[in-house]
Amino acid sequence: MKYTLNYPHKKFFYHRFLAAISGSAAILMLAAFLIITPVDIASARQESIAVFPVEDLSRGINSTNFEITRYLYEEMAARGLSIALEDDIISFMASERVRWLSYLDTDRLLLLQKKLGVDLVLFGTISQRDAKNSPTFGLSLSLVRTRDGKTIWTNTGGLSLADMQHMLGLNEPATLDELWPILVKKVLSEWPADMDERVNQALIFDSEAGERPPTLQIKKMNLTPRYVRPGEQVKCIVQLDTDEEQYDSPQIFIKVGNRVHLAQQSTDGLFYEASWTGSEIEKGIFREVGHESLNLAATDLKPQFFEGVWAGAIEDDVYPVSLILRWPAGDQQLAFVGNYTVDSTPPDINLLIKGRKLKGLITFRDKIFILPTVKNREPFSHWQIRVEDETGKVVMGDEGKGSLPRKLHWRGQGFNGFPVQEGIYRLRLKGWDRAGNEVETLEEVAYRPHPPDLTLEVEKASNALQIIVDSQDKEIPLQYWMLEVWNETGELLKSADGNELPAHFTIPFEWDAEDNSKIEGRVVLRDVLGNKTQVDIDDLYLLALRKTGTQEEETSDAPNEDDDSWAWLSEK
Amino acid sequence: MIFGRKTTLGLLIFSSLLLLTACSGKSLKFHRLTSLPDSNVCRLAVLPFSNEIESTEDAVVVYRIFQAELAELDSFELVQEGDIRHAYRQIRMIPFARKPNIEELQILGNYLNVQYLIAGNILDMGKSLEFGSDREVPFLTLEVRLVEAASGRTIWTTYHRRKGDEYRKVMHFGVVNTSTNLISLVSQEILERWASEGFIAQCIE
Repeated sequence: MKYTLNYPHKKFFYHRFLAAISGSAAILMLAAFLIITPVDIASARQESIAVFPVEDLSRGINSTNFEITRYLYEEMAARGLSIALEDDIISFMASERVRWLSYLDTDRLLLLQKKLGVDLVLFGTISQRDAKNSPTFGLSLSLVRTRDGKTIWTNTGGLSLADMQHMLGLNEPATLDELWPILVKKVLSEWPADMDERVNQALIFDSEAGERPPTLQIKKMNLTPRYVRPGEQVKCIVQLDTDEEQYDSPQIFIKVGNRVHLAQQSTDGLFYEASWTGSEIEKGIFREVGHESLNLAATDLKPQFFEGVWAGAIEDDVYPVSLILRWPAGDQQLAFVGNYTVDSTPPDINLLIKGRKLKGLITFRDKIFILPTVKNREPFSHWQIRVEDETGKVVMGDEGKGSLPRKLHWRGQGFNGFPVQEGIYRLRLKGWDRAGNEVETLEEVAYRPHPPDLTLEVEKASNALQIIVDSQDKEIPLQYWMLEVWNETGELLKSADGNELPAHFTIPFEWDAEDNSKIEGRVVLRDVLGNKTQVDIDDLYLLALRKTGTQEEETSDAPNEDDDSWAWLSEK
Repeated sequence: MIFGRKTTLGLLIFSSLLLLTACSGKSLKFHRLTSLPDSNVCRLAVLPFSNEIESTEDAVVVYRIFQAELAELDSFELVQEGDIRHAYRQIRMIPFARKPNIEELQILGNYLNVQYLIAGNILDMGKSLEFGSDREVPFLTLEVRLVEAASGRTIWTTYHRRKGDEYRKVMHFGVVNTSTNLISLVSQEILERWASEGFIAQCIE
């Protein structure tokens, strides 16, 4: 191009004119373009993001790593995103009672958009972090769109020093602190280039247009009792937390097994309540109406027990209870609220009493151990044990909640702490399972605390003493008897033992009226229960002469501790 | 020692075969219990994986990474973990504790308004010595099931076991040293298999 210096001003003004014309035309064209073609404002504006505190699972569930969280803040800011303040996020978490990191439910994501005005949320999880051995670090990031709760980008990566070892060892990280920024950058290196497109692509639902389906939130739920016998009533009370501003109240049904009951709303409008019979054993109560019962229930507005489907025989079983909500618009939701168990079978218990059996009865002198065992290992709600005498009077008893004690013992004492009379007693154990089915078992025992009776006869014979040892009480067998006789110098004149009575002895003896020396003796009887009688005779000679002077000293091994009459060891 | 040309070629072929064998996903066992229902509505929920390992944290990691790999496919409408946990609270189930039964699966499916549920079970996870080395590499055994939400029936089940050194290419190169990367790869391999069975294609339609 060639210009002459003769027309500088003309050229200058000519160019200025052309520039002005073309600038105005461009502005006009742009204005026309803007008027004719609507601009996608969302794509034009800067996206905003909330970086949630990064969950560090290497330190345990719900542990936070603020160092990496802040690093991500900076990385997001470097990408030109508008960042929600950390304090605002923490305040949001506190106000909405968000107690867990790395995830939010859709309702809270929508709230986050509403309250903080953010388009995106970045969740991070540190999957591994090891500084001790070979430094290792792992991270997973997830980007969620707040308008509909859609995850629009994720990336995961792990890095260890072993991955970073180069041939020449140049620029290798040596510590975890040097390693993790490399990994974070690597994970973020795949940050989508088409972020605008992803943010603005079709929504799963448009909550502003009312497309969000109603959500069910159960505020309170009480299903009682959880264990019933056939014919007993079960009640379910539910309090819902629905967004009443936006939606009409739903109809509430309680579905039990394959039966449906319409729940009645309480007068204050807060609760819904339904009750039904746990399981009817009478035939013909339920009409078989097929699977249309659900629709039938929905159209029946009577707030009462509803005739539902009954298929098959009623059996002991676990029945699931679900809540059905039907909104006027036709949306329906089902939520499981619990189980209850119909149980018609009483538990089966066995009462084992440890002790010596005499004439068909467990017989004891100090204490017996009672070992209840449950055959079907069913939990108990409570139990009771009673000891009755032969007239049926309760002389001792105890009761407790929960499982049966593993072991009980009775020391033969009554409620007043004193030993009961010798005799036959009935142990009656009752138990109730969680549904209230009762079981009872009883065993008879004999209480024999008295030592065996001793009859001792000593007679003078020519040059001898005749001794007869016997016992009147033959009901309880003897374990042993023992006889010992000494002279005054301690010389043993006779020693004998056995377990059968009576026993006869003849001890040679020179009778001398002037001899004052004594003949001492001891007799011991012990029965099989451990009752013991011991008699020490100071002078058998005198006894033989007078047939008197016997000094009986009865001893017994019966316990004298002040311990409780009852004790048990719990299974727990 | 100098090898002849034939010997060298033979060794090269043998090494290549060894490498190919090492890299193949033989440990992946896929079972089709029933056909996919004829529908293209693909709203999914990945339920918290039950686990037979001691660490709940590890179970959460496996669950999150699997979910992330699925989300990255951008072929499904995935339910947020927060919504799933909310559903678990509603039915009084503890996440990651046990496998939900059929009835619970039905209720969860209904509550979350999904067509399919993905349930997983972490059978084994940890570190063991790398083959021919004293270095530790991660391993993972995972079972993932595709469940039809309406019926609670399992449609597909996939068992997969992988160890970090199975990805070795040459010398130490290719060995997966972090459990995070191993979980990612195992998840990708399972999802690739599912894609080849038509699951993802059906949803894209």
